[in-house]
Amino acid sequence: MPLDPDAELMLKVRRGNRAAFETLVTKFQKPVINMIFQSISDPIEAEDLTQNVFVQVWKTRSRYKPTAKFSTWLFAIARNMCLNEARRRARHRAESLDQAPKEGADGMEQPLQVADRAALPADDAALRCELHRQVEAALRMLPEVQRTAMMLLRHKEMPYEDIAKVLGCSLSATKSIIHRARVTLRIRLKPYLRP
Amino acid sequence: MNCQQCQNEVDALLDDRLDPPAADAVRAHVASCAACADALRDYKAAWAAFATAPELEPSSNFVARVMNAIDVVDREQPAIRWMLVWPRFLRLATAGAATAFVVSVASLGFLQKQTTLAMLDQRLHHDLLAELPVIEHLEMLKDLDVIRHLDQLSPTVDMEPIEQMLQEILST
Ligand SMILES: [Zn+2]
Repeated sequence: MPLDPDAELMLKVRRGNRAAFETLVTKFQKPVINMIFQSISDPIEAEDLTQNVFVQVWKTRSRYKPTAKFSTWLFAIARNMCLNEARRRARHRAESLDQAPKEGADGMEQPLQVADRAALPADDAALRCELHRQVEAALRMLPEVQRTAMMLLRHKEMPYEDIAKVLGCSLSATKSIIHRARVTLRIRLKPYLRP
Repeated sequence: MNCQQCQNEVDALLDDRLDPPAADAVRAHVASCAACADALRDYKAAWAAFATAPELEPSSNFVARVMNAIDVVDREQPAIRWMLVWPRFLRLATAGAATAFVVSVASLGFLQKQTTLAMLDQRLHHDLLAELPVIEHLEMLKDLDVIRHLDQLSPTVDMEPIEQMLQEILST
């Protein structure tokens, strides 16, 4: 079976070919940053984390085996980094809470992933129509695994089998994750789809 | 095809992953069932809204930044090479220590849970998971049966996040 073109490039990267690496970074920068942005909410931090993902690819290039599609490998690294960052933030937040408890008006903890609207350029935020704002909000309300599955579906039109590999789930579990995400999006967006 | 079967095939239909006979069966059901037709229309519209939502654009110098960053990495390579030539026994000892660490962190979770049953386990998960990235880059864990050890604690500690994380580590 012929290798996919990205795997061919990655084999060159494994031999230290920087031009091949640059091609892969150029091709995948946008899907990776958007996948991370949906978890991190801050565009600047999302870009920093995306840079770390590609640096990690470079550092671990010798471990790449062409049995795995490059995109599957890349998104698995990206997801791993996102999860670590979310854990770091959760811990940091728990420590801050220990020092100065901050609760919402209803006494509940604030959600971990609050969209950082202030981080977006004002006119950029203003330009987003209501529906797109609702899409973003609905995505951020999804459990991490569902959100990641949806981002992978969107950006790469990945086969379910590859999404399953990135998520570390069985194929049937992945289908169920995708379905639950779709049901939630449909319910949350319904009021904005047909006024 | 009944409504449940139809709903089960919605994702595959929307993602264009149904073979033609199966897709025809769904379309035939939808043509005769108002509820499923309504649901399918909503699914399609929600997906279209998601698929066309604006995306974040990386900075124009992003690729250059990454290329600069790998220059820095390459300059640091000698230290990494030194680590790779560690004798095998030293690597195994490190892996053993990492395993002991994971098991003890999990045991700590077990004790905490025993003594503070009323307390939320959410916090426990955070504490456990926050420590686990320490072992992230120890490939040697592949040789060790860490998950089996952790399983012994599983009746009282929710092992799913830990196992999931170990699987992630082993699969990268
Ligand atoms: Zn029906």
